[in-house]
Amino acid sequence: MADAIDNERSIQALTEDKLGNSDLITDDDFVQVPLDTLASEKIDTPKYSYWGSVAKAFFSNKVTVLMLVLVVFILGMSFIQPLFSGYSLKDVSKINDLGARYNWPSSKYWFGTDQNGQSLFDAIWAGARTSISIGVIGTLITTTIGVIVGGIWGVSKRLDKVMLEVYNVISNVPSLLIIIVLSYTLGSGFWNLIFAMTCTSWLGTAYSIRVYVMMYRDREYNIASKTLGTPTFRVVTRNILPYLTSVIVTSASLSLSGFIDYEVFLSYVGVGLSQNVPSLGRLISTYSPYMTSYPYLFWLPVLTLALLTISLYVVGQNLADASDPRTHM
Amino acid sequence: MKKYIFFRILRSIVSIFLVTTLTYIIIYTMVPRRDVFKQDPNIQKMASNPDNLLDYEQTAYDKMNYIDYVDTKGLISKVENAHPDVTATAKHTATNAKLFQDWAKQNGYALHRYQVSKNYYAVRELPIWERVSRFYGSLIQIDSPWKIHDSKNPNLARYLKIENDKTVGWALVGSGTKYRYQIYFNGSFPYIHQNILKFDLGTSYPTFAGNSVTQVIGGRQGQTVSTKYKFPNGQVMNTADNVYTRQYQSRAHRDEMAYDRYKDDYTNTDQVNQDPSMIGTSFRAGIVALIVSYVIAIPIALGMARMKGKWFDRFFTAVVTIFISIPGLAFIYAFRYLGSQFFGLPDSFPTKGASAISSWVLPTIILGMMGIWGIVIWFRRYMIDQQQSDYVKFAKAKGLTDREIYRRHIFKNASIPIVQGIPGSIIGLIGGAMMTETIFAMPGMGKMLPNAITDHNNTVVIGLVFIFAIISIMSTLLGDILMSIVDPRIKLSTSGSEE
Repeated sequence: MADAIDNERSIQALTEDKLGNSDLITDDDFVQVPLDTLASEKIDTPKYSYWGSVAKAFFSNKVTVLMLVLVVFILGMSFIQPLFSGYSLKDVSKINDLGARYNWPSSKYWFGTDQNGQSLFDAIWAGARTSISIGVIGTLITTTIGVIVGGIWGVSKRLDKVMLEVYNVISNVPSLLIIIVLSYTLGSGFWNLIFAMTCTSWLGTAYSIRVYVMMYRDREYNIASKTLGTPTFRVVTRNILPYLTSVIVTSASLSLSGFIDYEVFLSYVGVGLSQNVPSLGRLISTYSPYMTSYPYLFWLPVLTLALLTISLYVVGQNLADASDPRTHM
Repeated sequence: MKKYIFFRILRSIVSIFLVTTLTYIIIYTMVPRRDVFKQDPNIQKMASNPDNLLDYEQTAYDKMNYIDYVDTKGLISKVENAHPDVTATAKHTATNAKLFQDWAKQNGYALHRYQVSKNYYAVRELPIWERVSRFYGSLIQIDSPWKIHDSKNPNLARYLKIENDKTVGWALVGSGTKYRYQIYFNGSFPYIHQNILKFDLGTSYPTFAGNSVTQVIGGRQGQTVSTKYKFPNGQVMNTADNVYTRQYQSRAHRDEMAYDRYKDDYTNTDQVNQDPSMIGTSFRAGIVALIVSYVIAIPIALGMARMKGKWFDRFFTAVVTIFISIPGLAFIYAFRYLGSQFFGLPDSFPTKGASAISSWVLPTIILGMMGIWGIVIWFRRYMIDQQQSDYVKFAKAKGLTDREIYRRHIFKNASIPIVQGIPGSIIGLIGGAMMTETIFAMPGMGKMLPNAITDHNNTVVIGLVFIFAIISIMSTLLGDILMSIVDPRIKLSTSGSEE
């Protein structure tokens, strides 16, 4: 936001310069023009398309584009590669083939092989697919519930009283604690884990939406709109929520890497996913004993994980910046 | 203000109660109760003797408050207590069966028979509300001279006296109480100790089986340490017994050697161990980590704000972006590797143990580092907002140097968000400590929670959730109160109106 203000200032300075440089004005500078009735009917503002401006602002940053390429690459690999590799944790066909075990990365095995002779390259993409799926599905759920509840929460005083108490209790408890206890009680499984993760985390999104809705609710344009008879529902969905695109994108990008982080830790300690589901956390936990003997087995999944969350975060943050209309000037 | 604080504390207690109760209910209703035996080696050993196995399982359920379990012996004594005029036996006669059946019906029990011996036993399923009320009912234990009732020792003296005890010096000594020394003094922090008020969070099972959860979480760990004591009988000897924790031992289980030493019925002692308790380990690491995060974060944020837009700001913006988005696990492993490779620090806590400071360094500093980035973002934002405020412009106009403005004006105002951020940092630390302690195998509460979960140790899980909830909710409360002290403009009592 501070950068936007800076930009505005520099533009002002530029226009002032131009005015100051213009010379004296004489009669020769003026030409008589007949009245053009057609032109006066035309609306002559430059065309503004919101998503066009978002795209323009988004792609103007080189780092973002690089990170976007990385995100697309990792997403592509993790959703397409496992279809061909047929990686399965239960596959033990090469377990007795000593030659296939512990191969360092080479042209045949790009990321090397593990103690069961399985290719780490296949394992990483299969694992990343699970981790990304959990992150994306979890984020979709929390963002949807969060925005809906937050919208209602911001305008309903009765709901506000109840929800504030609930929020005060939940927000004071570490979320990892809630998730770990819930996934323990629900038992292991993909959808159980997603439920455990999203069960309370939508409250954070809803709370931040609520704060913004309250901020915009009593602005003049909304009071005017209400006076003209717009129902509250329409005020929230049409007048307020579009302003919050950048807020929603920011919280979504935060929760995306947050969920991946939680999944990794839960799988690492052995809670959450079932035994036969590969995930980056499970890879890191199974390969952590090989940290010194076969470092590639351990560090490559860690590196993939780090690249994944960093690129997702940077892309998400810059998308949030770009979706803020104040940056479009 | 006082009224506000009173209600705030009340609400915090309600919050803690709610979180614990909810956890208790969902764990005890949703986790299949058979799961507690998954990791138990005794189950395998007893497989050949179904009666013993059944007895073992029912006793375990009884300890965990799933059911009330009465075995044959207990059944006989219960029936005889209820009907003093009859005598019941374990024999499988019709009269016995009828007696048992009647008693079971009256008290809501269901009568069953063992598989092999065909003896009777009775089981009563406890409804969840009764389990919860038992949990809270026994939560706070207050010792008094009427605590112990031993039928083998009817003439037990009952008193509380302040006296100069032969082993521990001046102390409030009790008889008829559970603990011998109610209040005592010694050289270890905080110098004055009490045994009057104790928390009872249940019995741990299947790991640390038979120990109380308070002892598991709050008791010292590691090898025992011997100390030299002078006992009431004049004997001087080295012992690992913690004489300050002398508890009443029923005459039926009396250890004659200990009785000879102490000359009274308080012969049951805990041991003195060398390493800090789980809660102690976590607290030490947590407090140092909190200091580390603030000591590193604040100079970085100050520098970034002062040099906004310059290379320093840009460089650290990139660093913050990377570290805030990197998963905790990758972060911990990367820094653990760096620390052990380049500084020769142990990469696992048990390698050198709790007595070596070097084993604390990495887990504590990494835990602190995980909290830095959030503080940096938030503090930089605050400082930049302050730079544009009127009082800073006025100070500039007066001709103060940048240094003076930062030191005298901005930093003072900035102490408000520092204080405001502390509760959030503490809540973050709890989550972070689960990761660092697990990876470094550091015996703290953060490592215990995932361990207790994989071992299906439900009572310890609830105990830990209870403690974590207390820490985080109370730190939020203290943060608010502290903030109103730091910034006199903040009036908590009117903070209810947000619109």
